[in-house]
Amino acid sequence: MSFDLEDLRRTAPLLLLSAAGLVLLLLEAFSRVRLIGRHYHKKLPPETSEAYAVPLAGSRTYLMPLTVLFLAAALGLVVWLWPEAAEPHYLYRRMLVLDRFGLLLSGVCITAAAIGALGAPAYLREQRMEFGEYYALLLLSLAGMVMLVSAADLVSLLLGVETMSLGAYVLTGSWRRSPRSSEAAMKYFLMGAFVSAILLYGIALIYGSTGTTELAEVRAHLSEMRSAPVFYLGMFFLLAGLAFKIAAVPFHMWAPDVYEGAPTPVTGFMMAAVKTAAFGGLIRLCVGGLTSGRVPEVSTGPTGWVNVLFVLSALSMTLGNLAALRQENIKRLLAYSSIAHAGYLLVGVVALGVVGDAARAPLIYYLLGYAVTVVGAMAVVAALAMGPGQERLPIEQWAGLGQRHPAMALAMTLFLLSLGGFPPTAGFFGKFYLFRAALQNPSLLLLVLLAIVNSLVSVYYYLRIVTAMYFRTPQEEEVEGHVPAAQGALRLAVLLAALLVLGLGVWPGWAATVAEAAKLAG
Amino acid sequence: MTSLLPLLSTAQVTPGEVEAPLGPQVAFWVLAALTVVGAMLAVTRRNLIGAVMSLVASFFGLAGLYLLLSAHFLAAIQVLVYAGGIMVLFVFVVMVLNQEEAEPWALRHVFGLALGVAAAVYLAVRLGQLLWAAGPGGGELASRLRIREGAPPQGYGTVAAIGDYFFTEFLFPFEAVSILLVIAVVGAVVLARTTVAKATTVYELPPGEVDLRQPQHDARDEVLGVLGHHAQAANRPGGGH
Repeated sequence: MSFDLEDLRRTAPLLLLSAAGLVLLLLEAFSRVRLIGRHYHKKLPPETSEAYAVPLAGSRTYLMPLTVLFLAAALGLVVWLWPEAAEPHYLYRRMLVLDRFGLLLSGVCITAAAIGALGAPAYLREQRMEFGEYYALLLLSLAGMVMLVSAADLVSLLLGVETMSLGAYVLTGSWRRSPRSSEAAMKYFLMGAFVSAILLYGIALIYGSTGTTELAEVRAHLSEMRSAPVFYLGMFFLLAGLAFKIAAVPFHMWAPDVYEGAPTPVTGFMMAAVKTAAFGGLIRLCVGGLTSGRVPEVSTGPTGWVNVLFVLSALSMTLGNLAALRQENIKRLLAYSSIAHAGYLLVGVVALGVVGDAARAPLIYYLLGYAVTVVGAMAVVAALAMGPGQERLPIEQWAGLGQRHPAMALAMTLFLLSLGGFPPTAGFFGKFYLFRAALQNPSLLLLVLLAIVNSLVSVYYYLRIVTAMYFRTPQEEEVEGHVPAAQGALRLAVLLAALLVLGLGVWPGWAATVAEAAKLAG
Repeated sequence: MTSLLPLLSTAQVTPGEVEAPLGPQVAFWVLAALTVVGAMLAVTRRNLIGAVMSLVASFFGLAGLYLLLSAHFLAAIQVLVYAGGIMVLFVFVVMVLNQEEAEPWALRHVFGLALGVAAAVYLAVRLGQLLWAAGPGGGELASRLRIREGAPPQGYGTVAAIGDYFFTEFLFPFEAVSILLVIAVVGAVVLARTTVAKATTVYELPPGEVDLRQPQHDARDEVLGVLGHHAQAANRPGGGH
């Protein structure tokens, strides 16, 4: 036997997500054929030449609850494996590792995807872009994320990144009637393909200089690497590839266009889950593979990864915030804010290299807080769309929402305050906890000060939306006769995200304890 | 995990390695040059068929390098799959495409350009520092190839050896690739299908959306998928930004 049968049980969330994706694909395939046979001839009106058709609107309403059910089951499996993961288990000949770090980040991605999926059908139906593969792609992409955050080998890390990204490319471009969506998918895919090549080249160079692709072995071989220039080149390539996935400056060029062009629930999914998983991969690579007490210069030396990420962090938060100040479109604004948040999160990764394990729990907490906040914010944006092809994107259209949609405006205010770092939200405690951990080493003082100044600057543009919602009178009336899609599941999604953001902020203790327990293997 | 046997190495002298004889030395540099020059031509040639043919040359060079590493099976697959199948597909797509060549996207903003130049300079300086630290005259980057003494182990580079790796050491990646392929194929279908199935419900076309059944949406888009869609969006006045 080439692997332990126990390994199957220990990768249960991954197997469930992949199988669920395939099941949904099959359901989609079979449901369509049958429904066409039943309805096609009877219902198609003669004037179709003047209109365009959508697929069987509302006929596959069971797909979303089924998806959420699968995601809940996957979350259940994560919880079930939690006690066992106290000790790391290497799986499939050390390709994956089961540890609490990977489990917790998988849980974060699954939760964000579940909240996003809850809100998706209302939006997709309103924008006339319902298609069943949406959920299958979501689940398979999630399987890639689980692979990525539990990778113990550069090969499985690459496969995770690729599976995750392919799903994200397709979901980005799935709004076929919107030229912006196609353009965004095109940009994302072309740059992503280029970045995949860079990642692969980096892995080849690391293999060439250390003779292995396994992260723990790479770390063990750091002291006897065969060629330092080749190794460092490989390391830079890997860092560049993952920096692209987390949208850190200067690898962020795709982010505003992609986040703006993608369907709104997909934007939320990418900002929350893709970013969390990519950070998981980055932490695995940097801490699991490139930090060795015997060869400190690989991490903290002049050409070490700490210095590289230090620069990326400072650039991301500064440029992201400055660009966000000028945005008039809410999705673009949140896209730049997402770049800035990648910068804050990189402070945590840098701290992991300098301070050590003490920065791990704050970083995980921040990732969790950020994920639920953006997924909630995007659900609100999706809920307030004003009709097919008419999303409420310019900030002036948000004027007066405090009176017209008080619940949604309140939730959005909460999410924006969390992004800005106000108490009592997840964002405040996340920033406080992270910066406090980073300050354990005085060499990070400058970076933390920059992060704090940036947080203060960011308050301006977050509060601009809040002021528009509450203190400005609406410019125009609602579109005649249009009922916002904010019904049922979408409201539930916003409510769940809001409760999580508040819960994490008011009682940060439980999440911090869980994050504290989420140890990295090795 | 045991590493595959690296037979060629430009790194430090390690015990059990000797300088390669002239034959492999010459073969390596010729094949390496073929691979790199072919790849460079593939991305710089304006003529698409020319670019594709350069890529074929590059693939053949890579296959030769695999042979030099005693990876016979991999070399054969490289020729069959990449230089053969994939290239035929490329040529088909290029010929079906048959479109005016256009600049994909130019760096429109001075800011972006400046940032790009700054990043490139920074990268070049840091790399230069690294290579300089390695010492003038090569240092760790030796100019002569060394090979491991003795013949490679019995069966190295054969189908059996690679199959063995696939089903033991690399079982997980081997299986995980299937998820990757499923998502890629399904994604391609989602993006490339033209009509959104047969209809039971009909809506008015909202403003700002593209009618998928307009004449400009022809059979080419089915092959090109998002690529064609994008070009079409960019050609329309006011489309794509």
